Amino acid sequence: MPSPGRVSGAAVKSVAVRPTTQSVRLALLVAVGLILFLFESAIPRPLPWLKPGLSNLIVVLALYGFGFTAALTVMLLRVVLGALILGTLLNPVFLFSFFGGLLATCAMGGLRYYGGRVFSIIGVSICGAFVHNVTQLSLAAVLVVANVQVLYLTPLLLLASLFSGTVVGVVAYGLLEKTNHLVSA
Amino acid sequence: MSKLFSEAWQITTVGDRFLMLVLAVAGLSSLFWVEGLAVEGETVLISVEGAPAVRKSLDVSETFTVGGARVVIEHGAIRISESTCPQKLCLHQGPINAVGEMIVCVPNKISIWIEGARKNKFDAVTG
Repeated sequence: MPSPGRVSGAAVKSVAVRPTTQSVRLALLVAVGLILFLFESAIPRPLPWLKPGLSNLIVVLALYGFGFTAALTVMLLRVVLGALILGTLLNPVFLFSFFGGLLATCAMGGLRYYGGRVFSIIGVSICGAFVHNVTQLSLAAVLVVANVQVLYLTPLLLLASLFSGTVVGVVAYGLLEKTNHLVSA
Repeated sequence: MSKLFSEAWQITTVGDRFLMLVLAVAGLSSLFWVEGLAVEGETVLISVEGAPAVRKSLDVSETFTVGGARVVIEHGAIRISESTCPQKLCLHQGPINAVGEMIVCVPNKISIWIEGARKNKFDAVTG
């Protein structure tokens, strides 16, 4: 049976951080998220709005390091700034990003605070990736493609959620576990 | 890196592992399920240099030449049987017959796209 670590389940001590310090840290997280976002935007993909979702890493880090409000802030800033940089603000791609991010963050927040100890940070991250992908694909089915062809992407959606969710969760666990000062200084 | 993953595995809960298993099984099995979604095509549109050139029915078996490629329609499917292109990727793709499927031969600038879905059993039903 796995022993719950510091970032597993709900076993994270909450830490009081001075407001300025927290702002700077969240800004750094957003910057890291933008780098990941732009990096994956440069990778060729079968569909323009389908991304591995590695920038979900910063939302998971913010959620476990600073709480739900911080996660929501970081997600919104990342989505809006990313869209500004790529020039996709307010077009369908932006809507996918926005609602995908919003629902994923809410789902992860809910699971972390109300999910008991069913999922560790890794399971929460996989759920986030899954919700993100399902939201985007549903929106695509309704707004863009408007037919059943979108269902062809189901295997991709499930396997991609598993892959990127696991990678993000493991990296987030590693970062939070090894760099205590990120969370608790 | 593998050390990190094995360490992270230690903190996974039963819920985590169950979730991973479910996603992996559902993802892999849906690969087969998606195959069944394919709708057989009725007509095929062949474009040369981006412009639609010929539209053919998949029901009529025939063999003809478009650009540098020899195209065969048989058993309700279409394939390229010979091509002048160097890599023969279009040839190795084999026959296609589902709506939305494509064969693209880039060197010859030919694209073959299955477009029309097979009609219903009845042309129209009146009340």
